[in-house]
Amino acid sequence: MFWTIVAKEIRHQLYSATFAYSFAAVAVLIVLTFALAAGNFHDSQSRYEAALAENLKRYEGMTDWYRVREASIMLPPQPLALLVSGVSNDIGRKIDVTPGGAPVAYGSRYGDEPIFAVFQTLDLLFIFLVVFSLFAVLLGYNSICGEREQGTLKLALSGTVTRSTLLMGKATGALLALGSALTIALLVGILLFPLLRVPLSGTDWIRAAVICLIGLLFFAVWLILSIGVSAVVRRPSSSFLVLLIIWIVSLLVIPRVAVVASNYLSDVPSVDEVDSRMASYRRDVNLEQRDALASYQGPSTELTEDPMAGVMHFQEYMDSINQIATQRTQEQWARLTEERDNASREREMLALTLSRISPAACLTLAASHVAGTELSLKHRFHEQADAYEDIFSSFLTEKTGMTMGGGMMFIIATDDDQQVEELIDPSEIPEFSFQSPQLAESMTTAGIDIGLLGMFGLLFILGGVVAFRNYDVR
Amino acid sequence: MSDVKLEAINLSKRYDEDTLALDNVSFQVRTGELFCMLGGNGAGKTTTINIFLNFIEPTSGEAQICGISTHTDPLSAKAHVAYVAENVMLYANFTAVQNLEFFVRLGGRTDVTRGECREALLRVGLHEAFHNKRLKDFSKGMRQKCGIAIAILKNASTIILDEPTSGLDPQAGHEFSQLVRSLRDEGKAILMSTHDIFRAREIADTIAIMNHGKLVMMQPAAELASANLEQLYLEHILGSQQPTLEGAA
Repeated sequence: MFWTIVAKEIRHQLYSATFAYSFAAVAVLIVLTFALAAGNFHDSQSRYEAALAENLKRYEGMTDWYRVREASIMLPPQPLALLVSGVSNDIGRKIDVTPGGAPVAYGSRYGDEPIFAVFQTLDLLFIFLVVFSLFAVLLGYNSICGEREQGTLKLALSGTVTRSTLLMGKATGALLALGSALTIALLVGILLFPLLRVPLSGTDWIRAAVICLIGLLFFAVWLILSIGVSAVVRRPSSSFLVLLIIWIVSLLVIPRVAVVASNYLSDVPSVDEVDSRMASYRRDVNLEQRDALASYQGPSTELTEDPMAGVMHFQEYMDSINQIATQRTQEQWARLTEERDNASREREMLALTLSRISPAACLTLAASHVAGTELSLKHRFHEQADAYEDIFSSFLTEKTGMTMGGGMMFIIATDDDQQVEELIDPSEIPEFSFQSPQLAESMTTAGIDIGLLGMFGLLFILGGVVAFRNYDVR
Repeated sequence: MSDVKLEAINLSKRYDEDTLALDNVSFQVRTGELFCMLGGNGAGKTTTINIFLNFIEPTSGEAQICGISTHTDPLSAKAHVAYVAENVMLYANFTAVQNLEFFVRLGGRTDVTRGECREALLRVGLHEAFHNKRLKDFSKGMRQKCGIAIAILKNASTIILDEPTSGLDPQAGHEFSQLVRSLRDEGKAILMSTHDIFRAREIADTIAIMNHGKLVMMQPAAELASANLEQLYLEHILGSQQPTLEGAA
């Protein structure tokens, strides 16, 4: 009996004009999204390569490493970020790393091209959130109440089928029919990537597949919800209205309210506040540095006879002062940023926890975790920039024999014509390689939200079955 | 085994304080009997049928199909009944055969074949050319034929018809009556609600008149053969103050 209903529902869905038109629109959007993502990837890749070349170009003509004071590192474009952009368009993609300096990212896509911030980009997450959910609503809102109004429900229930079997059969059939159709559209879309020469690693393929599965799970949740609502209300128009309200609340209201509520409930020092405290601390350190400089005793009498030795002595003294100042500044910066980061993380956690009552928020979080574009992308980039700064500082120290910290430096230039100036080789500068989290790590963090989506599905189907038991079929 | 197939035992249905839809209704329909319930709108005919199909619960009393309570064991009870609605609505984007296959299987006959569906459609008078046509272009009469074909294929011992001829043209109504009569002759117990006095007189074995939820009259059709059924109906439905049919005319 169950499979009879499943088979009928598959046929019923696939024969309907609503399905034909809406699926055609969804399929075009899916394929378009993948094609646009591929185009954007090539665009970002060429910009990234140009920026890398530009970065190396600025070292051209330099003949000593003392002049190398900073290196620019960039977040490389990732194909999955173009499918699920997450925060990747909002955060700065470039950091100028200076020894002892605090990493500040700049050059976000939305900052550089504000038009995208106004209308947002078309990515797969948008398709899942808006198009998949509406597609599910459109094909599920009259599943039960439509049949009641049409009169077929009474005929069906005059037979020996139980109401729960009928509801489960209808839900399974609709899921199989529509899920298969969407899977085909997603497969066609994803196959465009190799055709359009977007390089995907083995892990990327797995991640892309998981993202698509999460999208299909989200669709299933909305379809089950739609069928459930149609088993509660009597008229299709009421069902559509109820679902539209749920859709608005779930997609637009809950995530925003969660962020606003968390903002009120937790106190996080602003960036300006941290900067101001840091600037004040720097002033104090500079004053102490100046005092230390004023109390410079000079070299011992033996060294004063050799001017070069005197200069070197002063340089060493300066170096030690700089080293202490740099260390203190770095420690203070680390303290303040850690304090802010901790408070910020707590607020984020609160906002995320509150938002998770919406399936849309669960989808966003799960998909962005798998794509590596979740909230922590910014922290990860900064952490890796910090780590790179240590590598870069050590490299410069190795090259110059001095700690580069932004303090004063004496450079003795000679006009010895005999000495041929050798150009530095910029390729020696350590390369920055951005590391995405491991697949297992991403899956573990995404697991919570995937599990929640599954729970929503179960909850909605259970609610639907219970409601349908008492549904007035007349 | 008793030949009583459908039985209403003191059935009452109260929707709220002021609405008593069914008031202590009792009747029996036996094997090979066509039982017609006559009555105006709101008389309680459809409420009775809805209780037999377990679409609503009775406030008191019991409805039984083949001795099985429709309230306590609805699935077993419904295995013995086929239902044809006033306006048979099937899936418009399915063909007649596909609709039959689906609804007959839901009725419990999972072994039904397409050949059997075609045979049933031919028996109810639906031309072969329409068997594989989608229902969206079918007239009401054609859909009613599909509905009765489903009832035939389900092979249930009882059939419940809820005003099946309303809205049909005279020819379609006549054809439908012939079909119902042939099913009765095969031994089916048939409960039919109708507004149509003439049709009831033509085919019924027992005629019952319902008014305001009460069964106000129940007699074998044979006993009513010489009676003025229209007059009787009006007397029961409209009461003594109302004009007679002749007077109204």
